[in-house]
Amino acid sequence: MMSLGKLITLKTNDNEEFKLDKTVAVKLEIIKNIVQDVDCTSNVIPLPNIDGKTMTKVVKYWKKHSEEGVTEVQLKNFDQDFLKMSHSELHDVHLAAKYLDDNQLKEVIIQEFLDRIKGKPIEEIREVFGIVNDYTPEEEEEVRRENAWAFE
Amino acid sequence: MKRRRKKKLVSVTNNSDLPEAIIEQILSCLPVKALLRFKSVSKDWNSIILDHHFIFLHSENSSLLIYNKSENDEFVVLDGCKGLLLEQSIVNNNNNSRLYRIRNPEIGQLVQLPNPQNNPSLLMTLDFLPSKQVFKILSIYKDENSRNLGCEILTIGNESSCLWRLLELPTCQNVENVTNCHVFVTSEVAYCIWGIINQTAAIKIDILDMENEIYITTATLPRGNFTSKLGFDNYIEWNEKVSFGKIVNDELHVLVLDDYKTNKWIEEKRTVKMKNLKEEDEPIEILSVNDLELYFLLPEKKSFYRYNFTSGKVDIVLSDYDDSKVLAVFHSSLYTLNGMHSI
Repeated sequence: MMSLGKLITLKTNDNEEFKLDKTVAVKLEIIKNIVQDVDCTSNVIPLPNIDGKTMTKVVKYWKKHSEEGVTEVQLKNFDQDFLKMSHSELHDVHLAAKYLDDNQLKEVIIQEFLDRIKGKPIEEIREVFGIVNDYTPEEEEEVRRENAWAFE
Repeated sequence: MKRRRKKKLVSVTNNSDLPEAIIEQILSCLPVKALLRFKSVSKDWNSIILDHHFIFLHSENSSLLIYNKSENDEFVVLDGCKGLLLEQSIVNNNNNSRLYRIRNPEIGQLVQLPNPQNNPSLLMTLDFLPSKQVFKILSIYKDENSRNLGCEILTIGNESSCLWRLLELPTCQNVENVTNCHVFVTSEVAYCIWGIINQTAAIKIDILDMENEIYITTATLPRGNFTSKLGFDNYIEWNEKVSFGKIVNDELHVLVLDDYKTNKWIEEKRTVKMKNLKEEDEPIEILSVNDLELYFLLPEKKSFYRYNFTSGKVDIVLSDYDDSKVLAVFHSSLYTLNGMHSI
């Protein structure tokens, strides 16, 4: 097991390095586990599945959420701002959170997706997710008719 | 089950900017009606929503529905499982037999079941077997000639024909000796709990293997001081196990059937303080207990509560329920069965 210095360095697959304060890192169960699992002589933890752009976001989230004395309102405002990103960016963060086993961040992302869907008509959902409607008008009519009572 | 569209081998669909895995996860958090609507988004979304694994994932995530049993006048709900309701007709046919059906109220579809060999049934349960991804119905009946109680099982959800199968109970009880019966199914094992009169063992439990549809063994409560105070009404579901117990002086004391194969019972105790909630002699009906919580009814207050062992806090799950309309609580789901049609 490596020795825990004051800083821990996370290295992404495009060789970007993130130095995390030990007090931030130790709060993250997963970093603790990686530290214990990976037999390395330096304080650098490689993250082969995550790129620098995504990790910047994740680290920003972690830092804010482990800030001392941060209020609920501040966190809420931060999250709102933080989640203003494209679907593919959200998805990248979700994958990173999944890899890092950060359940809170995972849930926040899924909830954001759900909020983007909520109450929207089908046409808008397609637009939001960039989905091409591959039904013929007849097929679509058929599917809608089968599930007509959900449209009431 | 309905024939499902084959799942695509590629995980990234070419007409959306998101991979299927995350779409699945997002959709699994949505209510049934939203999903029915979203079938028309695209063929990919439609096939995700119809997929077996997705339906299972969604049913695990879905929120609880509390369903009013007497929604219509012709059928009553006997049991509910994974969003499906097992219903029995109220009106007798000429020969005293009843009709049985399964309905998914969220999807608005139902299927009529084949008549059990012994109709009417005295008690019926509906359960899902994850290992085979099928539903099974267990029916307890009274044989008209011998007056013994027996059971039969119906499997639904696979392609094989839908027939009730009689299952012999070696210790079958004569109906005259039985006061009560309750069936509890967990981990693919069914526990038929009988309340017996005029015998040393007041409670007998026939244990059945639901997957292979065979009788395994019969369990009885061990003798002892505490046992003599327990009756059929003291049944409690304890961490998915059969148990009998009661609250004495702020302490819940139970006997849990820990291993049915060896008829091994263990004693468990938990401190439960509810002085502010109920009068000393007010009746309490304990439904189930897990490591964190205790679920109970106070019939006089017509309320359903949850007690947290760690905090000692009590909160109301359901208040002011109507006794005459017993309630079924279950998860909503997209499950449909072979032959289901719109109402």
